Amino acid sequence: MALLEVRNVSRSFGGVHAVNDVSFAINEGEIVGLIGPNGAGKTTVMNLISGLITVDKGEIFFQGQPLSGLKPHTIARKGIARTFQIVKPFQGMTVRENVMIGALFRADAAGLKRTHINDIVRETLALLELEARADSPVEELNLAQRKHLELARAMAMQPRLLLLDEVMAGLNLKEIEKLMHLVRRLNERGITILVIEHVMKAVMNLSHRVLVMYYGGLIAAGPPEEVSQDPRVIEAYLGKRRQKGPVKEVQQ
Amino acid sequence: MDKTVTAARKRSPAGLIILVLAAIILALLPLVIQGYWIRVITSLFMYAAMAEALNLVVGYAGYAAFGNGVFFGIGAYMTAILMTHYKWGFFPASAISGLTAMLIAFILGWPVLRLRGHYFAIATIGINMAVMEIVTYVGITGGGKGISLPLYPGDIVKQGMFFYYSMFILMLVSIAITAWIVHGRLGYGLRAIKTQPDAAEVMGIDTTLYKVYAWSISALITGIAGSLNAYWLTFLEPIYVFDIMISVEVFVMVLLGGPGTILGPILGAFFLKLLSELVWSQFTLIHMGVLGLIIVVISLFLPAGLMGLLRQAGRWRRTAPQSLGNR
Repeated sequence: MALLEVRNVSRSFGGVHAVNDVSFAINEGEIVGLIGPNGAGKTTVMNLISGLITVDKGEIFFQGQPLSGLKPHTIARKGIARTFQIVKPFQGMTVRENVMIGALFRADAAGLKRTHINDIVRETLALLELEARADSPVEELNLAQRKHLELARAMAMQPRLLLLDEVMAGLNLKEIEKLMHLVRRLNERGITILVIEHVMKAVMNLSHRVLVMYYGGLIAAGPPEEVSQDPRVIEAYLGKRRQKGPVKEVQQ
Repeated sequence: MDKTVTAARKRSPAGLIILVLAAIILALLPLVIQGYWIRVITSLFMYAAMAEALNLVVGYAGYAAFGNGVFFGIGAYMTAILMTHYKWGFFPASAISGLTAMLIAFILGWPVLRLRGHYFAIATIGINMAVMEIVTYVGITGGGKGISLPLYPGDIVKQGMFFYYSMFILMLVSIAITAWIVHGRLGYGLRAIKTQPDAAEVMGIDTTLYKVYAWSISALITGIAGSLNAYWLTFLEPIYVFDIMISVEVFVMVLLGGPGTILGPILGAFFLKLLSELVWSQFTLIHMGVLGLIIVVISLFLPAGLMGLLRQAGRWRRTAPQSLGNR
């Protein structure tokens, strides 16, 4: 049984079909990339899974149970954590307090002792290499550190499924490489990951499978090498006229 | 308290000692002052408790509950009705009054706390006005003519002491409740909701429920303050207890002292009330003008209130000698 199953899901905003009849499944332990040009509906899919917006048609299942009608906080407690494309640190709090929120509100938090919660926070800060900044106000972090914080907060929730919305956008090569390494390490800890990414090198390298969205629909799915050769994908990214051009360029 | 909880660590032992000393001095104050000043400080405690209560919603959850005075009025009228029409004693009447205010906040919170920013502020003012109209036109409240409560049994000195210590305890309880909330899940949740409601929600915080909790606790304390005030004044009128200026003044105290800090609103209440006693009593006509001026000055120069100023001063004192040494 798939960990997450999205079945014929649609969502419109006014007359715009942001997500149109999309179906896919993610298996336990996978890293799945979700790519597509701007406005293809990738973030909408993530918002639908985390419950921030409701599904018009179709159904989403997590561990075999339907998520429709559930509030985002209930979905979060079932084991789905996410990050935001535009980072959303809790201002006026320190890095440690931000991560503390993840640990305080996870499904089993009510039964945990405060010392245990502090341990979780300390481990998570270490995992995301934020120990040195633990007691800094979040306002003092740079972008790369803020992205790490987004991940740390999500990890403190001890999720089964992690949704990453462009965690690498705006970072330099070195920072991207570090983050790729971290994402892989999280995956090795048994966390299933769905990642939206525009940095092709990262997403093609990280993902076991790639899903491609275009104008709200899913146009291709498969291993990265296969997907990058798919004529529909090339067309979506580069337009029809360029298709006759050198395919080599596209593959890079 | 936990060592790694930074909010707890910030509170230095020196601060705690000052706090305890201040409480002892205030508890012993009636030995030296009397009459007029007892009344002034009693009302100061009342406003401090209401400011602390409002702080939970405004300072921590970040919702501008502008019409929070409605719970003051509800508490006052509930006590008046129970004591005059049903001959209840003060303490049970007061408890029921607080719980009524809390219940009303809990019920109204579900729809109203979905509104954000200005819309929520306006809605709370609307509730205040609507309840005032209802109280004015319903028979049991005495309507626009007002309602008289039984007098406190005992002489005037005893009466003064009773209200002084009751309001004092209410203020201490409001501080204790706030400190307890701030260090627990509710406090963390509210602070998260304040800046990033969506991120808070996807991290497992039931944001609507938490906001409703904060508002209900705020209403409970405000309602009991209203109840005590009613018994103290022994006469109520809708236009007095539902006066929007009560809400405004308490709001200014929170902003002045420092929203989202445990002691800020208390400091703000003391500062504003003593200032008004010492200075404005000479200039009653410009009272409102000075209040307005203070609001403008705070929003321009003191966004973190007096507490922010104190913290800044503390930081300068700690860092200044070092940086000089480095050069």
